Amino acid sequence: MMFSESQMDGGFTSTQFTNSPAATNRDTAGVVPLTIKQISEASHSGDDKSNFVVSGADVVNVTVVGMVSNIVERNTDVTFTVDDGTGKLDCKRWVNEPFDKLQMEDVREGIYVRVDGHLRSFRGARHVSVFSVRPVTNFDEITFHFIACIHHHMRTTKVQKTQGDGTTFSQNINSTPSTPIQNVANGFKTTSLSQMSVPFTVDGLKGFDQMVLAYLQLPANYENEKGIHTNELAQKLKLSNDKIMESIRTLEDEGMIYSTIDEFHYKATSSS
Amino acid sequence: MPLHRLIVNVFSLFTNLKFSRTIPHLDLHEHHLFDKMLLYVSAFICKEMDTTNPAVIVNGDLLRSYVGRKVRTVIQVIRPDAGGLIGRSTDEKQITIKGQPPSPLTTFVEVIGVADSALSIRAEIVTNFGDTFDTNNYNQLCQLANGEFRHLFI
Repeated sequence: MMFSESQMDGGFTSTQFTNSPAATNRDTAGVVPLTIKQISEASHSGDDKSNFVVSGADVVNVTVVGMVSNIVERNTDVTFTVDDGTGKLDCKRWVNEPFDKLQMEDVREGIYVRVDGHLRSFRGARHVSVFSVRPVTNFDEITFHFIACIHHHMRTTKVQKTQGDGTTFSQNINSTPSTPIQNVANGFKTTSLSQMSVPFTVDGLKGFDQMVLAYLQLPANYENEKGIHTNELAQKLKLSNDKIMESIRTLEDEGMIYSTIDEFHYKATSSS
Repeated sequence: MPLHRLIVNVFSLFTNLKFSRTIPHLDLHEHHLFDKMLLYVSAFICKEMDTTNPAVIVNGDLLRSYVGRKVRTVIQVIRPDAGGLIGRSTDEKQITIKGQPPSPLTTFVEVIGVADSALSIRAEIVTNFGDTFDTNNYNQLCQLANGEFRHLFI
């Protein structure tokens, strides 16, 4: 990255910066695609005003796509406003290296740009400390960006919903290469669906039985004292209740699963 | 002018965006005081990011729901027209754009402006979007941005 951390916002020394929680997050969380409306509605997590929460997940670095206006060039920085149609966001690009200057030369009033940067709060005002800004040349990128915003929102809210149900199953949230979100803060493992969809007959068990068993053997589900509700199985594996119950009976007969708090909750007898 | 009147005027600023010059019966000192308060108020407003006038992403069909409001859409140019141009929306509807389009025009343009009627937009900004654009994707985005995920956009 072509910027010096010690100059991120004037007042920070590099030691302060690397010690702050934001710095640790910056290494782990990817660049989160957001609409500017989402950024404007972001809340702070706890008392720490340097942290932002969008759709219930921590956000440190963001990527936005919008139209440039109000470019103001100074000796050490360039500020501009990005409007993506959902709102306006102030951006600040420190100009230290020749590269920064070169990149900023392409940024003109009225063009669309993609901006990657660090979301900051300075005296209550939100702005983005820009790492990278480049003009949009293929305008499908605008469509793509908004779809990515929706996708990210769905993914984070879905993870929370399933967590709320007392399970930690989630569809592989690390699936998008462009936005590698590692939700380390929440401390749960992710497992992709493909790992458990076994469509073949193995060990005399039908594909559905294998799928049900694999789901119950997911570390998070295996550790769940209560077991997993059959409705959840039906929902997660996208199978009818009848098929689930059929598999449940087979697996129970085989001694591979057992019912827990009631006849709707099941747990695997072994983790593998 | 008593202080409470001043405060009332400051609050009317939120709704009417009045400036101290437009408020009668202020002497010089009060003018000064008011401007100072104005500064604080505007600093307060500035802290809140500007999401007051969003431009809703629409296709031809959705345009009718936003007559009189700010919208944005991508159209395929059919032909220039007196005082604007005629284009086809991503859902194959003919849309009239009033305003000054850029020259030369590419096949696809984005129009940001106010929905004039169910099939016309008074353009504020017309941007060339090149000669290739996936209209189907954009059309589906319009539906998502006005449906289930509306709260992320407006």
